[in-house]
Amino acid sequence: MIAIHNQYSEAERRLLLEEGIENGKGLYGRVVIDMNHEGKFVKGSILLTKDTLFVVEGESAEATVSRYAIKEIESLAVDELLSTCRFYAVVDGERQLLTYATFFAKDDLYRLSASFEKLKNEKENEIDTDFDSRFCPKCGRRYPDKERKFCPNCMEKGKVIKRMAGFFLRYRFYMIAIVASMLLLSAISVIAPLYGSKFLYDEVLDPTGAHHSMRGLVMIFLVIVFMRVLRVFVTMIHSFVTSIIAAKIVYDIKKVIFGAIERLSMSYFSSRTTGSLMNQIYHDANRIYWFFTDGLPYFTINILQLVVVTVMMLVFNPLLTLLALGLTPLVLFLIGKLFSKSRKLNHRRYIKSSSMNSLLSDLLTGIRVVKTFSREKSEAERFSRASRGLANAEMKRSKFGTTAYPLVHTVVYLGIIMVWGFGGWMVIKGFGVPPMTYGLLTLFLSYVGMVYDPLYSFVDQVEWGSDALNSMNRLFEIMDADTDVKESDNPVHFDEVQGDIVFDNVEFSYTKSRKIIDKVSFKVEAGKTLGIVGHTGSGKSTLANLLIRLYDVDEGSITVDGVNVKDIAFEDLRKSIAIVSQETYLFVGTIYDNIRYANNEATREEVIEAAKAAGAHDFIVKLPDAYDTMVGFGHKDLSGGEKQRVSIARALLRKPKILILDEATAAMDTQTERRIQNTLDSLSKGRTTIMIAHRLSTLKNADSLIVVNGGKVTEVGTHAELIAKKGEYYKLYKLQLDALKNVGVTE
Amino acid sequence: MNNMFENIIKIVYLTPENATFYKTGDFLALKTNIDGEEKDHGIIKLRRLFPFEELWRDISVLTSGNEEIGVIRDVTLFGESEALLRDELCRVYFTPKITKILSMKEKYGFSNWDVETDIGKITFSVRDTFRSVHSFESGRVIITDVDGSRYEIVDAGKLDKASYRKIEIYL
Repeated sequence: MIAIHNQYSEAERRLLLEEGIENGKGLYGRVVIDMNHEGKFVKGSILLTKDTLFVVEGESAEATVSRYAIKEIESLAVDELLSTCRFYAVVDGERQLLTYATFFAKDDLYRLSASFEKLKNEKENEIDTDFDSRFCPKCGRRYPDKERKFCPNCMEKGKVIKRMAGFFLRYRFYMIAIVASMLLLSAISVIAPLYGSKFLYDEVLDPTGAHHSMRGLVMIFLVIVFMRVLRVFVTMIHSFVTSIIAAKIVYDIKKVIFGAIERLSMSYFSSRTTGSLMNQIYHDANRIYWFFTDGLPYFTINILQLVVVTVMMLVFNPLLTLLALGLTPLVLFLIGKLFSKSRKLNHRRYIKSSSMNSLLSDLLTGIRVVKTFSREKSEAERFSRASRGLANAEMKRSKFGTTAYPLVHTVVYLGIIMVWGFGGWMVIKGFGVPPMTYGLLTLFLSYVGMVYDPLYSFVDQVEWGSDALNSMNRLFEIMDADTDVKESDNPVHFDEVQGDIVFDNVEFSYTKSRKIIDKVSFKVEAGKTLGIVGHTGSGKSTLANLLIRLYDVDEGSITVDGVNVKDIAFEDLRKSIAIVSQETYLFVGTIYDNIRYANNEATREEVIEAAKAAGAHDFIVKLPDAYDTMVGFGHKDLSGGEKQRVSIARALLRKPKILILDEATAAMDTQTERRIQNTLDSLSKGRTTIMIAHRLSTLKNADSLIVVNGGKVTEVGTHAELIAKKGEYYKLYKLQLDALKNVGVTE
Repeated sequence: MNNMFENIIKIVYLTPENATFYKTGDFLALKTNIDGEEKDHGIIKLRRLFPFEELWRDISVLTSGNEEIGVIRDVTLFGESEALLRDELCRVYFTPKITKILSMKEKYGFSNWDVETDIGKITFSVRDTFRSVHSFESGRVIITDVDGSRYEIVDAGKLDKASYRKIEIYL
């Protein structure tokens, strides 16, 4: 069976010994693979040494080893299929299949190819030889989630809980109060039946009892009332303390999680959906809170209570105790089985209901499209299918609930009946040491209940506990995660940058399989304007993202005023650069707040000036609440062009030395665009401006232009030069001009 | 309807007359002769345009740089090369078929699967099991693991009882 782990196999060990490689020295790459060259599941590996590439198929000493001389291989490459990939070498211009692999090994194969290229170019020292970072160092299995260094098999629960408990230290008095009140409640539950059952029946009501008198009855009556009152009082304190800290702790944990998430770089966010992050903040905080204030204390106290009760029962009558508790293993087993199934059924219902909800919201949001294409009937059918799915899931769940639980109850009841019967017999016969009495029997019955009741919740608590542990783990991973984009330890501070920008052989890719930016070099002198032209998806916006370090370059460098952006303090870098992009985002708040977002110290006058410059003032004054108009999700919906103007105003308020306009005017009508374009043109004076556009007319006045295609710079020059060159720019320009003419004719 | 875009967009259909497929090593390559222009594209890629519905029809042929050369309407038109095309498509769309589920356990948000397939035994991990197990009305089940590799159960109803019970709840 192929269980994936990274321990060296017998075959590898032999091979490395033969090659004289010890402790991984001289090994430039190792990839654990799970398929062979025939496409069958066979565990093996690929090893890269200075002169040879080994493909090992199998683990035992009899494994097949294929050897390929490095000098004969031109390059290594991965061909991604649907579920598997082909890893091949290019030899004499021909592809030669080395092996198949599932996607398990895909990223590692890409990495191996990159290492191979470095080895070929004699850059051995740049090769990353940490090929085991994706495997759990303890058990050797690979982490199931490549983004998380988390091994479900080796999680050290104690450590995680201890670390998390650190967060609760500041609430220690509350926590002590919670635990103390729980302990007290538990003690009351154990002691109360002693008086209420045993003492009352055997000592007071029984004519032979030591306290058989009215005085005795009043005394026991008072004790019982006192216990009741104490219980109510302690319960009140418990609920009071819990409700005080619940909100506080959840708030604190959410803050910690959000703080940790926010610190991470863009690449973290682009690989996750907003939904899953929101889920994480909401659910994880609640789960962690629950675990510490409810789950863990309750669980511990229950165990404690169970032990105490069992010991007391054993002291009073060991035989009856064994009989009473004899069924617990069966009950535990049953509950365990049933709960795990019921949890799954619940989860299934949840999935079905959320898929129905999303379909419903989809249909209501898109109702115009539904009506336009007169698809009401088929959509109604689609909805009824989803609804039926939910109904089925619901039915299964309740069917299970109504049959499974009575079964467990019956088993538990059987245990109690047995105690009744056998205990009753003992009372009549006066059997046992000390002899069984009526009072003792009723005490026993209450205790049996106290043993069985927590069993129901134990199984559930263990499951919830594992969820909470998972949440804690996730939180720590985020807190411990290294952000890819880090501020330098000794950052260079700028009071004000001049705005000289140089891109030198910059390479970048979001995923390993596709280079987005490939050896791009260009210069923009301070105060000048550079236009970047290219098709959609050619990598234009990525260049801007790299400049402000939302991402870091893979190779090459970007400098501002001669200093590598990686060395510039984050705040200074981002303060000097403002981006107006095609994606505008307004936060919930007033328009005023949204403009001021860029500069908290800006005065009202400055905000209005910026809005005027961006052409936003005119539409803002027409709104009934003007600058105090609430915008953003759930409030006034501005049009695309209006939003864009607000975001331009926001950028201008920053008074940046470097201004990046990334398709800033794309969402506007021609008239507005022209007006804003004029503003932007005059604003770009004295500022280094990078204008990214596909409408070439907006770039005519740029000091220089570069054409980007497939991540490469293909042409450089001024508008006039590029037109004269009759290359790609000329083609694009002519195409757009013709299109405009066409529009002109039809209009 | 058919010729609605005739004057604007032209789809190149590959036929035995204008396209010759051949093997180079383990890879499939293509030479074309379209409008009198002969061209050797070298190694090419095949993509099903409707992978859920049409296995052998409507196949897009791409260069290794992902540019479309043309579309094959039906591989059966290709006579001798048909086997080459089918073979390559099987390779590209290959998904291990699960024949038996030895164990399937959930732990901390992941489920670990231990299965027998038509190409051997394997273990894999699945995140968020309910959303990663996709079942079709025909009984077909597709399971996508943490890395994006897919595994298929051709007909869940035909699995042995023990295997079926392990996944029943997710269907």
